[in-house]
Amino acid sequence: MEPAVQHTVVIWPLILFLVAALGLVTVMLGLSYVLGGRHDNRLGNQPYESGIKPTGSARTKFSAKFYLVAIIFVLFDLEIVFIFSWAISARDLGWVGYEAFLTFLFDLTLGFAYAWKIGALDWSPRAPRQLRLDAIESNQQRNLPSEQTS
Amino acid sequence: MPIGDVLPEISVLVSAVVLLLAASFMRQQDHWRLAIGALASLFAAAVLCALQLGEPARLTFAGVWALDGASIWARLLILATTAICVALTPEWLRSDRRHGEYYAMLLLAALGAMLLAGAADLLQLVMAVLLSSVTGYTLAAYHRAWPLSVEAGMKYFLVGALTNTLLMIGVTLLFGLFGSTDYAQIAKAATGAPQIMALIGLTLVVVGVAFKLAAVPAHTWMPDVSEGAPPPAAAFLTVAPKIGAAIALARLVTIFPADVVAWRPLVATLAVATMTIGNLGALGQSDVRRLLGWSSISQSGYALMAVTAVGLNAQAIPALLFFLGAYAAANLAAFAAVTQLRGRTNLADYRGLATARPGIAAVLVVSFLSLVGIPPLGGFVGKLALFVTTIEAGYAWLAVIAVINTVVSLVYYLRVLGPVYFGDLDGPVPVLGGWAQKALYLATLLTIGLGILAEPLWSELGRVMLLP
Amino acid sequence: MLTLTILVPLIGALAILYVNEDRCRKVACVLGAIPLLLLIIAWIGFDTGAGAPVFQWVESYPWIPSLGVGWRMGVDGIALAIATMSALLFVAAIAWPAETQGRPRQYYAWFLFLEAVSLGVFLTLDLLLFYVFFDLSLVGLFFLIGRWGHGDAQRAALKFFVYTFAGSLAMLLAIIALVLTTDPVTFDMRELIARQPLAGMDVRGALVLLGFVIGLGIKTPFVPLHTWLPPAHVDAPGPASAILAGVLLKMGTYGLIRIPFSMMSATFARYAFALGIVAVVSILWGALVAMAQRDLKRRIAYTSVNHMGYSLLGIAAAGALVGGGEQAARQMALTGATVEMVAHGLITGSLFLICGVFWQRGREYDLQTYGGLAQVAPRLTGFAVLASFASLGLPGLAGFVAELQIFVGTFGVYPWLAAIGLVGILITAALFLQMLQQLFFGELPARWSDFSDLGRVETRMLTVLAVLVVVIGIYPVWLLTLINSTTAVLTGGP
Repeated sequence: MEPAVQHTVVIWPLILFLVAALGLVTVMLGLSYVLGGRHDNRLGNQPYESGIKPTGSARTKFSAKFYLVAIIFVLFDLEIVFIFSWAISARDLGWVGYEAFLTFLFDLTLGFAYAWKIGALDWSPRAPRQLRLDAIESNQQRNLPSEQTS
Repeated sequence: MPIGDVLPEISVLVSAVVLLLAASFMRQQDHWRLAIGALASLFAAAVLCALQLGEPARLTFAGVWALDGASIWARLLILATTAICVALTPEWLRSDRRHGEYYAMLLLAALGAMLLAGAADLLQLVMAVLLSSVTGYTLAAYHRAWPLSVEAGMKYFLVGALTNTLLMIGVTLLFGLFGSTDYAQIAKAATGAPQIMALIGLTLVVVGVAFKLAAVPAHTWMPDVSEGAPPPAAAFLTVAPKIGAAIALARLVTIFPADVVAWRPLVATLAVATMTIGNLGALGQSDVRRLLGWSSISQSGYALMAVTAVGLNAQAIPALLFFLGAYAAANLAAFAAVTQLRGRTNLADYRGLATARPGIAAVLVVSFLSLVGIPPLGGFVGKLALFVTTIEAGYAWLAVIAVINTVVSLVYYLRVLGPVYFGDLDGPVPVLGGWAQKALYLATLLTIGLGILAEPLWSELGRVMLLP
Repeated sequence: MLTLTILVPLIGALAILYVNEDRCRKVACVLGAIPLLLLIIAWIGFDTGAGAPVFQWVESYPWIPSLGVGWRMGVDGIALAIATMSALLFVAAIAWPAETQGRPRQYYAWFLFLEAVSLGVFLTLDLLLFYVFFDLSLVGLFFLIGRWGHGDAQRAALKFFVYTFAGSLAMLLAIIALVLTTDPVTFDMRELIARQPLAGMDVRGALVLLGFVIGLGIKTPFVPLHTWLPPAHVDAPGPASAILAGVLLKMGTYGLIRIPFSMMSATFARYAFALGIVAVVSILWGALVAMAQRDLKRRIAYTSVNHMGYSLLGIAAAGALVGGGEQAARQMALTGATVEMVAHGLITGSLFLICGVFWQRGREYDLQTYGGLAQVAPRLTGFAVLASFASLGLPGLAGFVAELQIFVGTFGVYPWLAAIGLVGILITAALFLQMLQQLFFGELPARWSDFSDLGRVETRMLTVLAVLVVVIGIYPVWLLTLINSTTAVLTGGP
């Protein structure tokens, strides 16, 4: 492989890119600032200029479980990317590729087993397992090493 | 594929996965057995690693993985450090629901540090930094019911996220400039590089590695982590990633010819800033764990002295390794003492410790004096080697600054030892006992042994070389 | 044998932690006396004849051969004289009935440890080992002052440790810079003396010398590096104070002779005059400030600055010229400097032990509160008078022998410095006489009417020291022969 190194690196495209990026942002913000209308009064700042005043907060609490599930989903969903790239070149890679891929899938399965075992997939917050875990956790908090109790 | 070249890493990785699964299938009360498993796998990895010592130094895996004396010794050091940290853990986490997973996490963090030591490719370096960081965050925040621990993990993560990004940008720049991420290729191309751009790229990468080293400017997480993380984890995080990062940094900077890219002033500046800021931060501490964190920052500064001299004389890398080893032993002993004292951290609570627990007090004396560099402890030989290599390299001013800093550091170490020996005891001093105690005395013996019996290791390290 | 001298107290320090508390002191005395015996044997076996090797009783084992470091032991006349004096002073300090505050084991363990490392400084022939012992002596004294001191002891101990540690690190840098000029690297003092590695290197030589002078100067101490000394002395327990003044201060001047004086004599000669000026300043400053002190212990502490100034003056004069010029005068100055070290160790050692008596009985160092003690404590008075007169240089006592040789020798080299330095003796005489008068004569305040005289052990220990002071004063030949055998070689004489 030829080390494709060009010692007289041309910097100006980089600078141009930088200027263009900054310029675009400036122009967009600046233009809307200059051209946009102002409604700087009390009514104008309300969520609904005319209508019923909203009550309560727009932010509702989600169970933390959602995030956990979402992350697990992302993790295991990404394997598709690898499976896909393997699939289109499966013939070229042959049995070595097949073995390597099986190893990969096996690793993923281990991860899945772990996630399942520790209860990350338990949807209901009142599952018996969770109750047990909660019990251990509260027990743990009572017995934490000294600096946290003192 | 030369699988044999990464057998130690594979062994650590596989046992981490096995431990993780085992932990989720075992009863919590039995998790301490996993510590034995972790120790066994670390021992196996160390044996595999030591077997590589006899082989000639070389680059494998298409040049991304360095198998030279520096990486092998650093990895052995990391494995030993991890073993002591494992031994500190079982009593501490006895009641923790996720006790067993801790060992898996620790092994993965050790793996990250080992990868750092052997990285001979920018992307390999990034991988190593990321693995070591991600596991580190988890270890720091392991007591998730305790605010300080979570805070430590959070700060560690925020600083880490920033510096990891800078690292990536730096790697991108260097890749763009030289057309390769491979150290050997970069070294070939670097002679004619545009100096400013290369220096900027290198600086960004150095900042990314400095984060693992807890060196300025990415040092701020260290005091919080050493205060908030569980002490066995703090012991690990203040030592193991540093060993890997110091070697990684030495390997990285030496690929650039010093007359083209001025990295020596850069590293020397970081060294001065790190040791000074670390010491100044430690001076006012009344919290022993925070104090240890700051002191650990300043020790990174001393280690950077050797990195400054790398390539100027043959002793720089041996000095760096020896210093890191002595530092590891002494710092582990100090954190083991804290662990053994059940995390006691307020300076006022250390008053009269010598009356109640003379053994632990003696350990504190040995470890602190070794960190200062009082002979004949390990830290002395380490610092001596550092001074010798720095002065020989023509950086006598750096040695002078280090000496001034050492004097300053003596003040805050004595501020702890004073109350321990001269204060009056109030209240009982409960201890953890068991494995932690054995680890405590092992680390102390190592600290003393590295000083008095320095010769075998030193002459062995004298043959160490650094690739590429 | 010299190895044994260090190992016996070192191992004894560990062993004594397991000895019954009641018998601690006796065991410590025996253990502490063994080095003294060994050194006396070494003295008897020391060959002072012409042509005898400079360093005798040499032992050598490798320690870190790849760095050129080894366990090298050996003595010349100077080292042997000072080491023997130190061992004697240690026996006296250990035997001294001290207040161990319920922890006799640790107290005596630290003393034995300190004895081992202090003797190590004088007996080693390896530059790195010298540094090792030099540093460890700080650790030992730190714990002795901090734990068993009084007043603001922790602060004094901290100041002492940090200050002198700064000095020893400066010395470490100088050692490294000195040693790196040899190839292959060696820390062997004999090699370094033979090679004079810095000859012809002006800037580096000057910097290395500066490092040594700062490092050893803090320990000596001379003005303006002396400020750690008074608090350390005042707050230390009596015996530790005696060791600090009698033994630890000698490490500074001994180191000056052993290292820069011998190993880089050309550079040393160039800056000898500057050192001489520093010495004279120390002499005058120490004496004048001592005079202004109301605190008994502080006053004696400052006279230490003054006396070490004499010693430094002798060394500076002796190193002023390289080669044969004024050899007789320079040898005399160097011999005088060494005798001054021995004499000062014995005299000031006893003075500080006497100070300990005052603290134990009265909890008070203020001179003004005492008076007329001669009536109730005649033995104490006797010893204090003898030690003070010896300290101010009365003929027939040890101090006189030393100071006479220093000044006679210095007149041959730096007449003006010697003349100014003489003023210091006058001031010292005044301040000691005034102190004696205040303490022992005049009205006896009522609160001291039951001031008890010296006990049996105290009397015995002070007698030994006092007898030596007198013997050196009247019949110093045995000491001078030993020292001259080395100083002759060092100053380039026959």
